[in-house]
Amino acid sequence: MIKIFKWWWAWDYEKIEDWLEEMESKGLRLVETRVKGLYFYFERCQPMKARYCIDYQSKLTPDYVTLVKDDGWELYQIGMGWYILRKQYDEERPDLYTDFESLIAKNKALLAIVLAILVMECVTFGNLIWSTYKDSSKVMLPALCIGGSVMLAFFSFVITSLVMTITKFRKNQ
Amino acid sequence: MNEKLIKAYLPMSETGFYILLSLNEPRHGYGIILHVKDLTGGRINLGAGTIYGTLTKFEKDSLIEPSGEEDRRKLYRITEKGKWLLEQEMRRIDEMYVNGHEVLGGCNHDKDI
Repeated sequence: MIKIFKWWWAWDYEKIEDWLEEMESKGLRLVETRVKGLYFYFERCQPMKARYCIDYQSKLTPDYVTLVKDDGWELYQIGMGWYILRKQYDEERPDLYTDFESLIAKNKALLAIVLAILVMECVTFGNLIWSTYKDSSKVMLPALCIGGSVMLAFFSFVITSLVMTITKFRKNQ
Repeated sequence: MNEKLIKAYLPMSETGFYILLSLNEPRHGYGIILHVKDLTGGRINLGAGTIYGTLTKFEKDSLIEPSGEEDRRKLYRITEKGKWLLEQEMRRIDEMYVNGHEVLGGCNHDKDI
C-alpha cells in the first residue's frame, strides 16, 4: 500500500475529488483514509476512469447507504460526518449532486458547521483573553490577541469563500 | 390551498418536478433514478445525493409519504398536497406553452398537436 499525506479544506473538496480521480487514472486506487482524511492509502490497480465525490451527512441513515450503493457508489468513511464515494464510469462522468438546488443546500450545511465552530472558538478565545487580562502579569495578552485576529481572519476567509460558492450556484440556477 | 407552498416550490426545478411525478406510484430512491431516466429518454440522470436530499425535504413538507418497503428499501408515494402542487406547476407550464406558441408559431402548434 502507498500512503500519501494530503492537507485539504472542507470547502475545497473538488480539489481532492479531482486528485483522487487522477490517481486512479494513473493506476492507484483509494483503499482507505486515516486521521480524518489526511492520510490516503492507495493500492496499485489497472488505470481506470472513476469518479470520486466527497459528501457530508450529519446522520448516515440506512436509506442513504442503500440509495448510493444501488446507484453504484462505494462508500469510504472519513469521520465527523464526511464520506468519500467512488463510482467507475466509461463515458459520462457521474455526479452525486445533479442540480444547483442540492449543491446550494450542501454548501449551506457546510456554512452552518463553520459558523457553529466560529461561535465556539470565539467563546473559548474570549474566555482565554478575559482570564489573561485579569491576571496581573498580562504577558500572554499580545500573543493571544494576535492569535485571535489570525483565527478571525481565517474564519472570514472560509465564510466568504462558502458564501461565494453559494452565490455562484444561485446565479447558475 | 397553501400560499407558502407555492412560494417555496414554484417555479419547480426539473429535478423536483420529475421526482414528485415519479411518486405517483410507490417507488424507492433508485427506482426514481431509473424511472426518470426512462421517462426523459436518458436526458435526465439524477444523482443519488440529489434524490436523497430532495426526498428528505419533500417528506418534511409532506408532499410525499412513506409507503411500505421493498427489499429493505423505503418506498415513497405522493400525497394530496404533493399532487395539488404538481397541478399548480403544470398549469404554469401550460400557460407558458400556450403563450410561447401563440407568439412564435401558432401554425406549427395547430399542425403538430
